[in-house]
Amino acid sequence: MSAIGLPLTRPDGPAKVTGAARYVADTPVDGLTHAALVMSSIPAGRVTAIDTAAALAAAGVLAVITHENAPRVAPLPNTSGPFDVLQNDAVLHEGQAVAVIVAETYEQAQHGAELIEVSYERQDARLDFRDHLDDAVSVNTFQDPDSTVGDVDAALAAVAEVVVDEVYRTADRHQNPMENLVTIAEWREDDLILHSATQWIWGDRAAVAAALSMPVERVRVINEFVGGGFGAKVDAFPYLLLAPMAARVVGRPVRLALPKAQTYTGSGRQPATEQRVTVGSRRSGTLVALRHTSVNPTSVDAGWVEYSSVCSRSMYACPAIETRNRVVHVNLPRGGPMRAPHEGVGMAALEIAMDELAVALDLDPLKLRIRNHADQDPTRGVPFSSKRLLDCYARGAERFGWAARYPEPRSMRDGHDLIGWGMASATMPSPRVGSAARVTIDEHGDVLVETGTQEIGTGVHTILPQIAADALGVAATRVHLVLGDTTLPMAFGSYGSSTTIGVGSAVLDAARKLRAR
Amino acid sequence: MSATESFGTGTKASARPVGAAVSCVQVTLVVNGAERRLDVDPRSMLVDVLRDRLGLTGTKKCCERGECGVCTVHVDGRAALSCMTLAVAAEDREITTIEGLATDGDLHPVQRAFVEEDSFQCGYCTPGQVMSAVACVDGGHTGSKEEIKEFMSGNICRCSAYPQIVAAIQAVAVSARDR
Amino acid sequence: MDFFAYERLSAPAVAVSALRDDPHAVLLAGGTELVNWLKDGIMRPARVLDINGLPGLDAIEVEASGLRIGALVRMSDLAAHPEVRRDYPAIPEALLRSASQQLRNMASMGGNLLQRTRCPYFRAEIELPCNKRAPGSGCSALGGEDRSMAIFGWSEHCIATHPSDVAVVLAALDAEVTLQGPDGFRSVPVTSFYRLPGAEPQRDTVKEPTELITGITVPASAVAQRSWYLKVRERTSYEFALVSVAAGAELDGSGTIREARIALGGVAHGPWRLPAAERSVIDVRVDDRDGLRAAIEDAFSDARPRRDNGFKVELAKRAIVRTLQTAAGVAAE
Repeated sequence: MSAIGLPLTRPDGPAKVTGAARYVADTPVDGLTHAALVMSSIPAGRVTAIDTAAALAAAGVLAVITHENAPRVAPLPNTSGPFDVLQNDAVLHEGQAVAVIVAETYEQAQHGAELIEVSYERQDARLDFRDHLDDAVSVNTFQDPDSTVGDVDAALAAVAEVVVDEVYRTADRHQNPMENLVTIAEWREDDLILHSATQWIWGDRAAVAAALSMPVERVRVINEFVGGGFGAKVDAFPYLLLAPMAARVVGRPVRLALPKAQTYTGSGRQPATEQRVTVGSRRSGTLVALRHTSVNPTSVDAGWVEYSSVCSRSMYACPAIETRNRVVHVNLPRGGPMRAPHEGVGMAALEIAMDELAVALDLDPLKLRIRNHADQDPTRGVPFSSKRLLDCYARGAERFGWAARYPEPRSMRDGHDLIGWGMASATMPSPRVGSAARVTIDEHGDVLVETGTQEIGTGVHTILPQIAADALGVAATRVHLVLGDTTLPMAFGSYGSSTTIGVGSAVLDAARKLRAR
Repeated sequence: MSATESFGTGTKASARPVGAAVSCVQVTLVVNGAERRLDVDPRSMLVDVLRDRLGLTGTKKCCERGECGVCTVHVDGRAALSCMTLAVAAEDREITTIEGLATDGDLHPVQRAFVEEDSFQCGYCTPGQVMSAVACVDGGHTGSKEEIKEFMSGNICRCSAYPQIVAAIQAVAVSARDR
Repeated sequence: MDFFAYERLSAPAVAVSALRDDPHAVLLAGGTELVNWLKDGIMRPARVLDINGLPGLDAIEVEASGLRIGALVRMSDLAAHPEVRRDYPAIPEALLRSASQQLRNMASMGGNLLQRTRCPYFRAEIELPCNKRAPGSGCSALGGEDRSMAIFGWSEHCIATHPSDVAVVLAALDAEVTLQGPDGFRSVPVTSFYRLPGAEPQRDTVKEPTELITGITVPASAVAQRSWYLKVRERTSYEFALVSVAAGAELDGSGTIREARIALGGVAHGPWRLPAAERSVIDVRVDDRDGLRAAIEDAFSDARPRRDNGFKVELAKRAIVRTLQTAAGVAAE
C-alpha cells in the first residue's frame, strides 16, 4: 500500500492546533533581551544626528546602536545587491533601519525607540518610477532580461490583421505572512546561534557569516515551524544582521521581532510594474507577433528585477516574440520574491491582453488560447518534456460549465450582483536544486529522516515521510522528520515549489540506498 | 479646557518618568483555571504577559492592533483579543488560552476537526482560529456557511485555509447536533 | 507607549471627579479605541481609569416607550438582544456589520459613539500633518488620498468621516445620549452630538472632557420597527463603510410611506441625517424605486465631493432607495 497518494492527516497537526508548535518568537532563551528598530522617516538623504540620551536613560534600556557606534561589518549579501547595515549615514529610502535599541522588556524597547530623535539632511527623492520611465535600465540578476525570436515589428506591420497594444499597471504587493519577520541571536563565545523565521536557513547562514566575516561553520541557524513566508523570508535583509550585531553589543541574546508596519519595508515586496503588451494576430486568432515589456521600480543601491515578461517567451505559439524587463532606480526599498513572482504578475498582463484580443476578434477566449497552444517552447524551439495544458482547458471548461457563459460583459446577474466570468492561464518555473538528507532506521523499525529544510505550511512533515515510507516499505506513521537546523544535511530553500521534487529526491535516494543495505 | 488637553502633551513621547524605575503593578490573573500572581508593567498587553511571562506561547502576535485575530483568547468565556487587552485590566477575569482547551490530553472536538479537515497550513493563525471557532460553535453561529464566515471574519489566514476552517466548524456543529 | 498609572473606579461620580481634577486622565472601557491610541502614541495619558466595574451602566432596558442602553453594554450583547432585534432591527444589523466578533465582545456602546472621527493620515506611523492629531499642522487628506473622505460638512481643516455604524442608526432613530458631568446630567440628541470639523477638528463631539456617557435612549416608533442598515464597502467584512444608510419607514395599508427617517454614514464628520429627504418621501409608495429616487435627489444639493470620492453621491442615493425598500420588505438584502 503506497503512502504517496493517501490522504494522510498532517503529523504536525496536533502540535499546530494545540499551540505546541514552536515558532521563532516562542523559543525560550535564558537572559533574553528585546530589540526595536527606529526606521528613517525621509526617503533620501543623510542622518546628521541621533539623540539617544533620553532613550539611554529610560528604564530597562541596555544599548542604542546607530551607524555612529555599530560594530563594523561587511556588506550583507542579497540577490539583488548587498546591504550596508548601519555602516554609514546614508538614507536610501523611508523605512530603513537607522537605530536599534535593546532593553530588558518588549515595552521598554518600544518606549525607548520613541525617545530616540533622529535629525536628517533631506535630499531630493525620486519616488514614482512612472515619472522616470525614460531612465529605465537593464539589470540581470539571474536571467537575461531580454529575448527575441522572429521580427515583431515586421509581423505587426505586414501580417497582423488585428492588434491589441495596451499598458497594464500592477500595484505593490506585500507577502504579509501572519508571522512577522523575527530573529533571535545568541552568541556563545565566537559561535552564533540564529533562530530565524526564514525560508532558507542555509541562505541566512551564508549571508550572516559573510557579513560578520565568520566561517559558516560557526553560525548555526534554527527554526522548527515558520508562520508563512510567501517570499518575504527568502533572502537576507538588514533585520537578520541587526539581531546578532545587537547581541554582540549587549552581550546577551536579543530577540528582534518587527511590528507589522515595519515589515513593509523590512524585506522585499513585489514592486509595482508598468507592462506593455502588444499582440497581433490574424482574423482567425492565430498569433503572429507578441511583444511584452515590463518596468519596475527598484532601490537606488540594488537591482531587483521583476521579470514579468518572461512568461511570454514560452506561453503561446507565435513566430515573433520579444520580451524586455527593465528597472528604474528610485528612493524606495528594493523588491523581493512575492508569490507568485515574475511570471505571476506577468501572466496577468498577458492574459488580459489575450482577453482583449478575444473581444476584438469576437472569438471565445478559451478558443483563442487553444488555437495558440504551444507544442514546443516558441522562443527556444525545444519540446516540452510534458504538457497537459490542453487537458486542463478541456476539463476546466467542463467542470466550470464554460459553455453556459454569456460572453457579453454585464450580461450575467445573480440577485443584486453582476457576475463576471473569464479564464486565464498561468505558468511558473519549478526549479530542482540539489539537496541532501539522512535516513536512519532503528532496531524497532522506526525511521528518522533528517534534512535541513523548513516547514512553512506546505506539509513537509507529511510529504517527506511519505516518500521515505514508500521507499522503505514501511507505514508512513513509522517515519519521523527532523528539520530546520544547519547541523543537518543541507537542503535548498522552501520556495519556488522546489521542496517535494528537490528535497524529496534526496530523501528518496537516501531511503533507497538504506533499503539496499 | 479643550479636548486636546486630555490627550497628554501633544504627540511627542513624554520624558515623564524617564530615569525612574517603571512601577510595576501586582495583578492576579486566572489563566486556564490557575491563579498566577505577577508584577506587570501597566503598559503590557495580555498577549505579551501570556507569552513572555507565563510561557504560554500558543497565543500569537501579528498585527498588534486588533485586526488579525491571531491573539484571540477567551475572557470570561467570550472570544477577545489579547493584543488589545491591558494585562492589568484582565485581573479577576477568567482567561482561557489555546493551551487550556484540550482536557486530560484529549483534543477539543474543534481541534480534532481542524486536524481531520486539514484546516491549516503554516499553523500560525491556527490557535486564534480555534479559539474563535469554539466561540462560534458554542454560541450557535453555525447555521450556514455565510454565518460561519461572518462570525469568523475577525481571524485572518494568509495560507488561505478558510474553506477547510469552515468545513471543520460545520463538522463539529453537525456532530453536536447528532449527539 | 509612555508609562501610566492604572486604577479601577467604583462609581460614575468618581469618574466625573477624576476627569474634572486631572486633564491627563482617560477612561478605559472596552479599550478597542484607547489601546490603539496608546500604542500609536496618539494619546499619552498619565492615568488610565478603568470604568468597567461601574455599577448600573451595563443594562439593556426595553419598555413600551423606548429602549435604554447602558454605556457599558457590549456591542455583541446589544446585537443579540431578542427584543432589540424585534423592535429596532437596524440596531443589530449595524452592530453585526461592525468590526469582528472579538471586538464586539470587548467594545462598549459608549466607547463606540466616542470613536474618533479619523482617516488613515491620523494614524500614520510617521506623523503626517493632521489637524486632529496636532492642531494647526494641516490636513494631509486635503489634496491627498481622499476616496474614503467626507462629501458633506467638511472644512479645509478636516475631511474625515466617523467610523461608527450604530451611531448612524441611533441618529436616524432620534436617539439621545445621556451625559453625567460635574454639574449633573444632560441629554443630547445623537444628531447634535457630533460636531462639524469647522476650525477645530480636534473636537469630535459636544461632550465635555469632564463628562461621562452613562447611556443611550431610543424612542419606540413604527419607523424603528421597520428600520434597516445597509453598509456598502469594498470587502464583505472588517472594513469601514464607503457609504452606509440607516433608514426606516412607517407605511400605510397600501405601502405608501407615512413617515421616514434617513441617515448616512461614511459621508461626514458624524452621522448625516437627511431631514429634507425624510419629508419628500412621504406619500411615495415604497415599491416605487424611481419615485423614491426622484424624491431624495434634492437632499444632495449641498454635497461637496472631493477629487476621488464623487462616486459616493450616486452610491448614497442608490443605497438609500435600497435600504428603504429592504426595511419595508420589498427588496432583498
